[in-house]
Amino acid sequence: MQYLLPEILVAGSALLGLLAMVVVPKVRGLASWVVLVGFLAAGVDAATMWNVTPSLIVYNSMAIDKYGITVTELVLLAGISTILLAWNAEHFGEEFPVLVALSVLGMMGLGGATSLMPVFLGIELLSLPLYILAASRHTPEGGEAALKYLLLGAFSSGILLFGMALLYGATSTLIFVAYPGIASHAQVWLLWPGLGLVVVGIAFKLAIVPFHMWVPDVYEGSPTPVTNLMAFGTKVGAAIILLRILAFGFYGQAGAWGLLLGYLAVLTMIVGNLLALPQTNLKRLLGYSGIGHAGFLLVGIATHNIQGAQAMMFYLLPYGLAAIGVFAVIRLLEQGQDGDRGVILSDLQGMAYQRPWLATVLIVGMLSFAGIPLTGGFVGKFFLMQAALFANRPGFAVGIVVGTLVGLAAYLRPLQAMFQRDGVSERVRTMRWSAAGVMVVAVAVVGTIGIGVYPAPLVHIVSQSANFYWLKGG
Amino acid sequence: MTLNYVVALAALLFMIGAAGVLIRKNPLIMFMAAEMMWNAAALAFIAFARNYHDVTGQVMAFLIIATAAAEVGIGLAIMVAVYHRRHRLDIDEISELKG
Amino acid sequence: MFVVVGMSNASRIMGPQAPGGVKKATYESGIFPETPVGYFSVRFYRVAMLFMIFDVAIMAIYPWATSLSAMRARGFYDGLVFFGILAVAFVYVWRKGGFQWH
Repeated sequence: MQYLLPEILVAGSALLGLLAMVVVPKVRGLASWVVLVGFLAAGVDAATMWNVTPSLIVYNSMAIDKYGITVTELVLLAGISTILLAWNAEHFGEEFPVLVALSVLGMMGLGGATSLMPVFLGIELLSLPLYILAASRHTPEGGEAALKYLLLGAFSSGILLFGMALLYGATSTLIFVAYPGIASHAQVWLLWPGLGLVVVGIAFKLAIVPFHMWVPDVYEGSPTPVTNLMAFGTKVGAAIILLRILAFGFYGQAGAWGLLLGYLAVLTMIVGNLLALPQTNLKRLLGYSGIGHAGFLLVGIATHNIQGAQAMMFYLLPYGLAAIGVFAVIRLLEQGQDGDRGVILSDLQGMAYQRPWLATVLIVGMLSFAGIPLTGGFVGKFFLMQAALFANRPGFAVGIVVGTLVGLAAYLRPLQAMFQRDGVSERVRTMRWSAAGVMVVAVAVVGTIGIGVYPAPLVHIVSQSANFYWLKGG
Repeated sequence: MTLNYVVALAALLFMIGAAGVLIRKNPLIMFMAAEMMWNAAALAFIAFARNYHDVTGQVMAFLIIATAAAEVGIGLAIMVAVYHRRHRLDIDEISELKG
Repeated sequence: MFVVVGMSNASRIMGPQAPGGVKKATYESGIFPETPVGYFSVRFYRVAMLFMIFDVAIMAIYPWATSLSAMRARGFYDGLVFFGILAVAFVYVWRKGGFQWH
C-alpha cells in the first residue's frame, strides 16, 4: 500500500482542491496551491522509492519499479508546468488544477500498469479531464477542439477496449506480463487481432500517422497550458504503456510487430515534419511537430531491444522540456494584447531584438526539437539512431535522418520570423512576464542545455529504469 | 459453442459502431456509435468471463459501464456548450479549424 | 440475407440523391422549424446527467455489498473510501448549486 503513496497524494490533492474550492470560495487560487503541493510531495515520495526492489502489487496489476517511478516524475513535471502556466488564469475556470491533477493521476497509473485493466482506467482517467480542459477556452475553436478530441477519444478507446476483450479471450487473463508464458497455447486467431486493435487504439492517443488527424485542431483550439499537458504528458503516458505492453507481453513475437511499427515510425517522422512545414500558427506547427516526435519515440519501441527502450525513455525528457519551454513562450505572448487569438508566425516579428530573453527560450526549444548538438534533442536522436543500428535496422536510421532534416526546416521558420528587422509586432511589445512563467522557462532552458552538454546522469537513470526484464528472471 | 455466437455478435456491434463513427455526420450520433463500440467490448468481456469462469472480465465490464457513464456526462456537456454557441451541430459545419 | 441487405440499400445507391433543403429540417407538424422552439431546457439535461453519474455508483456498491462477508474488514473500509470520494463530488455539486432548479 505504501508503494502507491504518490498516486494517493495526487488523488488526495485533487479531492482536497475540489473541497477547498467550495468550502472557502473566498480564497482565490487555493486549489492551484493544493494541487501544486500534492504534485511536489508525490514527486519527492516517488524519488525516495527509487531503490525499492521491483515487485508486483494489487493482484499483479501494478508494478513498482524504476520504470514506473521515472514515468511518475516525468508526468509530474508535465503537470507542474501546466499548473504554473495557468497560474492566476481564472478565465479557464477554477476547476482547472483539479482536472490537471486527475489527468496526471491517470498518466501515473499507466506508468505502473502491468494489466490491461489499469491500462484502460489510466487512459480514461487521462482523457476525460482533458476533454473538459480542452473546452475551457470559451471560444468557438475551444468547443470544436473539445468536440473533436472527445469523438476521436471515444472512438479510439472503443478500439482499444475491443482489442483488450480479444486479448482476454485469447489468454483468459488481463495481466499482460503473464502473456509470454501463455502465448504458446493461446487462441492465436484472437491474439493477433486483439494486439492489433490495442496498438491502433494507443496509436490514436500517441498520434501515429494514419491516426493523427485530430492533433493539430485540438492543439490549436485548446488553451495553451492544456496543449502543454497534451503534448508532454499524454505522449509520455501513451508511449510508455505501448512499450511496456509490447516489451513485457509480446517480446516473443517481436519480429512480427517490430518491423510493422518501424514502418509506421518512419512514415510518422517524415509526414509529421513535412506537414509542419507550411504551418503559420505556432500551436499547429507544434502539433505537427508533436506527431513527428511520436514517430521518433516509436522507433525506440520498434527496435525491440534494450537500447531502443532506453533511447525512447531518454528522448521523452528533452522532448518534454523543449515543449514546455516553447509553450511557455506562447503563453507569455498570449498574456499580451488580444490574448485569445492564436499566436502566428508574424506575431514573433522583432522578438529577437525587443525581447532577447524570450527569444533565447524559443531558440533553445526549437533547436532541441530539431536535434542540434548541445541540446537534449540531439542526444536523444543520437541514442535512437544508435538503437536502430544496434537492431540492424538501417532503414529506421535513414528515417530518423530524413525526419530530422525536414523538421529542421520547419523549426527554423519561427526563428527566421523572430529575426525579421522590419518592425516589432504588437504582441511582442505588450507581452508581460509572470513569475510562474519565468520558473517554467528557466527549468526548460537549463534542462535542455544541461541534458545536451552533460547527459550522463539521465543516461544512468534511463538505463536503470528501462531495464524492466526483472520479471522474466523471476 | 455459444461463445462463438456471442463474440460474433460483439464483433458485429463493434463494426456497426465503428462504421457509425466513420459515416455519420451528427456528433451526437457519432458519440452514440462510439459508445456502442464500448458496449460491444463489454459484451465480449462478459462472454469470455463466462467461458473461462473468471471474474476479471465481469469486473472489466462494470468498469466499462462506469467509465462510459462519465464519458457521456462530459460529452453531452461539451455538446450542449458547442450547441449554445452556434445553434447547430454538424461535424461538417464545424470547420473553423481545418483538419 | 444478402437479398435483404441489397434491397434495402438499393435505393440509396440507385435512387436520386438530393440531400439538403427541407429534407434535412426537423419535421414539426407542418410548422417550419425556423427557431429552435422544441428544445428542452438545459436544466433537464443537468438533472439527468447528475442523476446518471450518481446512479452508476450503485453498480459498484451492489457487488461490494453482496460480497462483504467474503472480503471482511479490509474490503469494507475500501468501500468506505469509495463512498468518501463520492461524498466529495456530492459536496462539490451541492455547494456549486447543481441541485437547484434555477
